[in-house]
Amino acid sequence: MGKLQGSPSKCGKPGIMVYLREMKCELCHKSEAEAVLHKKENGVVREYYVCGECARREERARKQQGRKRGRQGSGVSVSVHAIPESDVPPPVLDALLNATAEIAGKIKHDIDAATAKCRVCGMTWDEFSDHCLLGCPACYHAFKSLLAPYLKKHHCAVSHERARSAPSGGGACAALEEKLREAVERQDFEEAGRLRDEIAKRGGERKDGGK
Amino acid sequence: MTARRKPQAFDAPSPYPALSADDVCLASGVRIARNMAGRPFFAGAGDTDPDGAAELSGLLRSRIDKAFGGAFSESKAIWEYAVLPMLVRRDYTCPEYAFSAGGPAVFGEGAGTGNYIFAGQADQFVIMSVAGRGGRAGALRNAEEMERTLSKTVNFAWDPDLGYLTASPEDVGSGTHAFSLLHLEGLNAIGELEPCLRAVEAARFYVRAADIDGFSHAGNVFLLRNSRTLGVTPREICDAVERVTADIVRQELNARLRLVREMPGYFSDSVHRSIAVLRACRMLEEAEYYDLLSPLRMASSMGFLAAPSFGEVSAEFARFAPHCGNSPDVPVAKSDRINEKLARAVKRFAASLKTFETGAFRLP
Repeated sequence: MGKLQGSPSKCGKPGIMVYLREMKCELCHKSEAEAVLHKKENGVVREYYVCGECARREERARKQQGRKRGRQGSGVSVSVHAIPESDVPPPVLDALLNATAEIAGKIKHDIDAATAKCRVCGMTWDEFSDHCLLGCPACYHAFKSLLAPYLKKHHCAVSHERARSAPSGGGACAALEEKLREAVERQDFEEAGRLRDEIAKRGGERKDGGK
Repeated sequence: MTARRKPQAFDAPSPYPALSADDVCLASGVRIARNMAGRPFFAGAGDTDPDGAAELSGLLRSRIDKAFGGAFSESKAIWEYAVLPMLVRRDYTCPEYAFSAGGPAVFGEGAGTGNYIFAGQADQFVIMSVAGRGGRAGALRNAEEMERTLSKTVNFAWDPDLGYLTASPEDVGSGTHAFSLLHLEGLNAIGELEPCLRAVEAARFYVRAADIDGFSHAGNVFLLRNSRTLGVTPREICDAVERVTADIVRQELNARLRLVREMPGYFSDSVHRSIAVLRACRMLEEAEYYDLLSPLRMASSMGFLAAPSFGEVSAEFARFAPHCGNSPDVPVAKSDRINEKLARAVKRFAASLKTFETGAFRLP
């Protein structure tokens, strides 16, 4: 039996959540099942997984019938309760799913690592692993997916967003950008405009120099 | 050794005026790693293609000379002393430990202070500015100025997502490391060094002993630098290192105060022991020499060693860092010719200790 209760944050397993969403109420077949309904019909107890609305409706019907007939002769008794924890999938299933995902990820990483090679300098991932030094700027693109966990672990980041506006000679540009930020913060838009033009001008100069 | 206690906050102003933060922080500085766009890093150029490495080194030198108009004499000095051996031996050495004619570059003592460009290590350009004690803001300005000048003739390797691309992914992003060189003899003496360094590392900073292997921490001199370079600006890096440096210096001053208050006998013994060994020894290694100088420097900085002067001890301390270039494995006899430089220095320093004067090792 699948897990019928629990928020995604508690569960955290997409596969299981898909399964949860598929568990519809066995009476209305519309809403998601939230409770277990035990219905005794002619001496036989049947179990239904029902939505909250159906559960309340059945509960009201049971009370009305009980008042009318003094709970005698109906042949039907109903009890509703929250889904027990025992219906939650066993931890071993979770562990198995996790392990499968981990193994798949590791296999993919190993395949990537074995085949990854920089086209420009010819460096392989194994060579990088030996010295922790890359061969050329293009290596960053060749080993992008493999480097991402390394960068995240070491820098707690995988990108350098602040560098986007400082392609080279970043010292002066960075200082100007700092001033620009400060000018914007104090709402000195005249100064901010002048600084923006200055940054753009310096960027243009560098581009021309590069060519 | 007394039981360890929780480090106390250092009371400011110091109840003991002779304690100075400048005596703990030997040097501070900034280094920036850069590479040329479209060219291999040195890490990828040298091993299999020595001709390519030689061509690249010639190119780097011409770009430096062109950018600085041949006026950047420091870069030539570094080139001669540090770069050429590295190209030959393929050794990876921290640029902070490379040395110029006046001593290790990282020591902000006289000739060590200044601006350098190291060319031809793992990264093509390492721009470094060393300030003597606590002048990191100025060092950052100098380094950025040099970088801007160099950028006139060099198109740096840069990526929109990753920032400046460096040979080591540990430096990618801003490519900037701010560093401090700290003399932590007091913390070591009271047994608080390891917890202090562990706390610093837990805060994602890198601490390395200032010797060749980085582990034996001869002389209790440590290099502190930032670990993160991706997603942070150079200014943020400098501010963070400045904050951590201030914290460690405060702990060290507190430790020195506690040493004098609580363990004057231990402190006095270590100083007199060092003096005795230096005066009487016949065999000495550089690391051991450095270890012996360390308590003398601390005692001198606190006014407990009137002669030789603090300047003399400190200069000797800076000059004879174990990473100065001599092999640490060679045992040195004072009269042998194995390491004449060290033998001469020890003899000279031991002679100055013949008239040593120590104080009472008590707070006034």
